[in-house]
Amino acid sequence: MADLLSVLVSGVLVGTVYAYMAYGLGLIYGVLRVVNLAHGAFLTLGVYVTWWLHAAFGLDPLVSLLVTVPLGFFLGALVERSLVFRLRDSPPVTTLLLLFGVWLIVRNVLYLIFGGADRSLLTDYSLESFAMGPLAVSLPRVIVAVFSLLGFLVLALLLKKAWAGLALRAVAGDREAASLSGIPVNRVWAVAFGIGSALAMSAGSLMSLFYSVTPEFGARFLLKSFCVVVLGGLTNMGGILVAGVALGVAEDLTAFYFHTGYRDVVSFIVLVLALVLRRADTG
Amino acid sequence: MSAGPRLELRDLRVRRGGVKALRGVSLHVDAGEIVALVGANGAGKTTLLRAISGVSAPESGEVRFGEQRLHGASPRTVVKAGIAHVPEGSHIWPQMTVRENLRLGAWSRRRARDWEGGLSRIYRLLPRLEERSGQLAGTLSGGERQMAAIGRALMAQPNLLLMDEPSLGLSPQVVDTVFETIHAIRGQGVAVLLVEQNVVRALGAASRGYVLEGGRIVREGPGEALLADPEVRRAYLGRHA
Ligand SMILES: Nc1ncnc2c1ncn2[C@@H]1O[C@H](COP(=O)(O)OP(=O)(O)O)[C@@H](O)[C@H]1O
Ligand SMILES: [Mg+2]
Repeated sequence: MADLLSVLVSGVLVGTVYAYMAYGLGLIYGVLRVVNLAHGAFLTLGVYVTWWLHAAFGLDPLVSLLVTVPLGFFLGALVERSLVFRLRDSPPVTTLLLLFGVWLIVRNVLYLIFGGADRSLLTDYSLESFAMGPLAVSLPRVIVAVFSLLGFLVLALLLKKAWAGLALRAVAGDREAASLSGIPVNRVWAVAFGIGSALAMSAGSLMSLFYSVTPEFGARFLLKSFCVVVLGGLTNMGGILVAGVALGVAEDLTAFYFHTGYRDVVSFIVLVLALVLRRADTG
Repeated sequence: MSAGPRLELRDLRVRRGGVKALRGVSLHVDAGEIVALVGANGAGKTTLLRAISGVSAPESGEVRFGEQRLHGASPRTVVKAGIAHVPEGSHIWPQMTVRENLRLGAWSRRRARDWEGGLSRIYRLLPRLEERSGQLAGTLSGGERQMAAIGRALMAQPNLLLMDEPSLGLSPQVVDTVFETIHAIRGQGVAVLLVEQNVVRALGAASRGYVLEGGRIVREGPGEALLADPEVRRAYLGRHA
């Protein structure tokens, strides 16, 4: 019983970072109507930058958020300005392929520089856990969950209260109305891409605490991000949080009852089911 | 209220998707007057308003607002110059509250930090919006949506309001309210360029009117004179008169 409870708690904790990792994909889709396959690139860059800052300077992954958040914003806005924006009048598949190209380039450059070996980042608290009643709860998972929830809270406040956040929602909701109100839609696109990429890169920082660092990191977690975003309803923050937690729990239960090897299959099955059910739902 | 600038279009030509939607339109709206622009479906009325507000770029011709040349300007520049646009079909944000919709209308004035002062002025003009302020705009009735769209445009504190078929699809009583609002707006010194298919109401409310046909102005004059014009009556009032 305590075992099962431990699994559930751990699933919930991981689920929050799944939601955090995925939200940028939904935000970018909502504002630009672009499926950002370069999300995989930003996730991978996030873990590598964090791993490297730790290996070279002993920087704590949580401190490296101060690097990955602004760097992600800058790189994301740059990708939007230099590539996505130029293709705004082309068919969506062009943008999709282009962003896929960005991801492949980043992945291969990482292979060239760091090779394909799995690396891991170990801090003094990586293996710590504490007791909560009968449960043993992993400290890094709690820390990561707290940071993810804080990130979500800040973002929710931004979208609800700040002019910039309202502009993001306005462009996502009705581009023409936004334009007629004097909102610079082009700039909002770049900001949305920047925020989405900052979220992805900083998710990489957080996740480096308990996932191994490889050039395939992005592939593994892009699929999960899709799963969370489709299940949660694209831009709906609450829905995405619930979907992230649901996926985290489902994965941990699968690993507990069947085999750890099946963990990554769960997101694939959930994604297919969510797509099929959503179709049935809408027509 | 001080008199705002005059809007002047000269020989404006606009293509939409390869179609010559406007073939040389000249018109003007003086400060503080209501001008009606009427014409059949597809005449180019919406295209004209979109060209003024910078959503579609004109091929040639001039758009002037006082001293400013707005030909080819971005919608942002046009709003800052003092022209706000209530689009066809209201285009409010259904997933946002009425208050958020109105706040976004004040985007161009956000640095002045007085948007809440503007909000209370709008609530005085359109009290219904204050009652609904916390509600999602998607839950409003058709008339209330139109009011929210008008309120949002007024939040930019324009000198000229472009309105695209504000009475479309509304019941007769609600249409009355919309026209009362248009008069109240004019009473505050804001000029209105009113596009309507409801020709009688529009020309009745306006000091002057233009008739647009196939992308050209075919008649212009005082509202009452146009209403009395046999050609106009035959073309647009056949069924109503
Ligand atoms: N998005 C569009 N793409 C191509 N042609 C358009 C588009 N919108 C309008 N048109 C054409 O432009 C002309 C003027 O349309 P519009 O300005 O919407 O007329 P109105 O508002 O008077 O009904 C019509 O011939 C219409 O077919
Ligand atoms: Mg029209």
